[in-house]
Amino acid sequence: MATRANIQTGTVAAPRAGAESPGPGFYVRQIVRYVMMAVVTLLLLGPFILAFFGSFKTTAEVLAWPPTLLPTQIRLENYNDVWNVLKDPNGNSYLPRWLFNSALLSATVVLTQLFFCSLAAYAFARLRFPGREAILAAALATLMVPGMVILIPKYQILNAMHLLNSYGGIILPGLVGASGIFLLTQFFRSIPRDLEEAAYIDGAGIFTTYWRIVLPLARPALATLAVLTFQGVWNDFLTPLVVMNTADMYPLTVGLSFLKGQFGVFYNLVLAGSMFNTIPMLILFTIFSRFYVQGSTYAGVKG
Amino acid sequence: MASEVAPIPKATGMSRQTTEALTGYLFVLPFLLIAGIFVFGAMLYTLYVSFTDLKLFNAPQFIGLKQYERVINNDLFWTAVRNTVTYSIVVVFFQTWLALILAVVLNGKIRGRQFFRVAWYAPSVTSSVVISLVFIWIFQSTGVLNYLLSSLFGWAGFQPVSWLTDAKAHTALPALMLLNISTTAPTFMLFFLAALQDIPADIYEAASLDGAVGAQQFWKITVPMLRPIFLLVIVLGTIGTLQVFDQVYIMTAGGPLDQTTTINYLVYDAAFTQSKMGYASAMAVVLFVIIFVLFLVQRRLIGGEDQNAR
Repeated sequence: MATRANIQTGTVAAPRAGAESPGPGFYVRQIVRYVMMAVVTLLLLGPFILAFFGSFKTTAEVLAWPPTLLPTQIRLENYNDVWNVLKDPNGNSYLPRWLFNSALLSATVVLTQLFFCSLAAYAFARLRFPGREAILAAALATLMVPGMVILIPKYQILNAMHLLNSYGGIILPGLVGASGIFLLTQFFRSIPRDLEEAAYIDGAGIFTTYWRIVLPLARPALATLAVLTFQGVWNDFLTPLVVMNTADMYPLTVGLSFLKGQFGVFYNLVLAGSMFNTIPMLILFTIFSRFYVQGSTYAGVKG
Repeated sequence: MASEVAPIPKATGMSRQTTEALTGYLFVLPFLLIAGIFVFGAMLYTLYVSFTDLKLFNAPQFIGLKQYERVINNDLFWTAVRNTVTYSIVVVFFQTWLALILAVVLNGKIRGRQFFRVAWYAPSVTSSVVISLVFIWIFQSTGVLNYLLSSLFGWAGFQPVSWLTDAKAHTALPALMLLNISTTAPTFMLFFLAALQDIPADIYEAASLDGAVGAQQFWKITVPMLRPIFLLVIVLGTIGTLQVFDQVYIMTAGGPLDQTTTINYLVYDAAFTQSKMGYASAMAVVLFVIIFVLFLVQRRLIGGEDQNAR
């Protein structure tokens, strides 16, 4: 990995003179740079590392002054406690239900976005039809619209459709989105047309060409869209806060806010609960970090 | 169904162009429906509702500009505008520069760039809810921040502060700003990093031949070359910060003494806890106008001749 980074650096900025004869100034600068990077890493990750340790502490220790770094004893029970601390009238725990809701909503929206965004993107990238550019521009404009501005009508419309407090209330508006369309349109435009033309000459229809030829080629872009969409839904708070109004329908984000309201004094439990949201996301991120890093600069806008 | 259409140019009825156009419309139809209802239709509806007395589910009565009058005459609304705009300016300013500095650092001759890029970005995949919950804990009076500051500045008489709740100290809004800056900067760092790698090395070589060194190169080459990315980062940052909500809802609920009440928080509160949809819509429209005007101003100021963000 280090060698690859070095090769990349070769093509980048840094004045050549310094590289040929590294004087003492060069080493001083390097040391400053690494110290700075270490400090930044500590500042950015520190709070989350502390929270992770905190999730194993006792309630007294998590709020103690002076604060401790490591838990004196590792209380794994915190995770068991937070799993069971909130129950519905039938005695079923809420936290697993919230996890399930989050997973179900995220997975469904990922699938619908992959299909409908790629469909639209293929049309924008390859098919000629009157008004194409105008529609694309309108799609771009939707990215500018603040979420809160459309939340009130969304609530009213979902109410009229009887979709409030249901999975459909999140899934339907999230079916397809402009940022996904952009990401994929850009990608499709970068694929050479030869294969598609060959398929067409072989008698494949437009849908077949899109489904059989273009989608398999677009796997990296689809993966990027999938991870970004998953993150967007998994972490979304405001929309489910408004759409869902009984605790059994909450996704984990809204559930955690509810948990904090009910059990805020047991901050070790709040931190343990938070880990159920964070750790799956971090695992996903570590596995797919490549797609995140290219995707977030690509799509520009979250969610 | 589209696959049945036009198997081969050999025309059975429709020409290839017609098929292509019809298929095109069919493919974008789901987006048009969803965006038509939940974005464009919704915006028009918000605009309409802002002229009515809609509470929650009553039949809306047209009442002209009454809601806007109420908005304008409400001191709390102006407090929220002031908080939101201050928040936005401070956060965008610092997060943009921090993002650039981090990107320049990572773009140097260093080992393990991949590691740092992933490590610094990791907080950005964490949900705002968890970030808020963690930072309530960090910011509390017996929290880690106070501990660090007392250890470092205890000799100068530093006393622990309840960062999020002490109204006299006016620290709640700055605390939220700090949180936002540190969690968003790494995302924008990636934008700058990608752009930095696109700057051809020979420009820097030519500059060093002409005797330009470190800081000069940074101001004379790096910053101007990154102008389009600056615009993008500032515009996205502004749109994002003007809508700050999650952190306010979870960490402070607008307090202490409305010091962290933002426009979005007021809109939410009016619409969904007080059931004043008409009034909330009027505020949402004002928010939209603020965002749009700022976008145009920024594009004019930074965009220059190059009107394209990318």
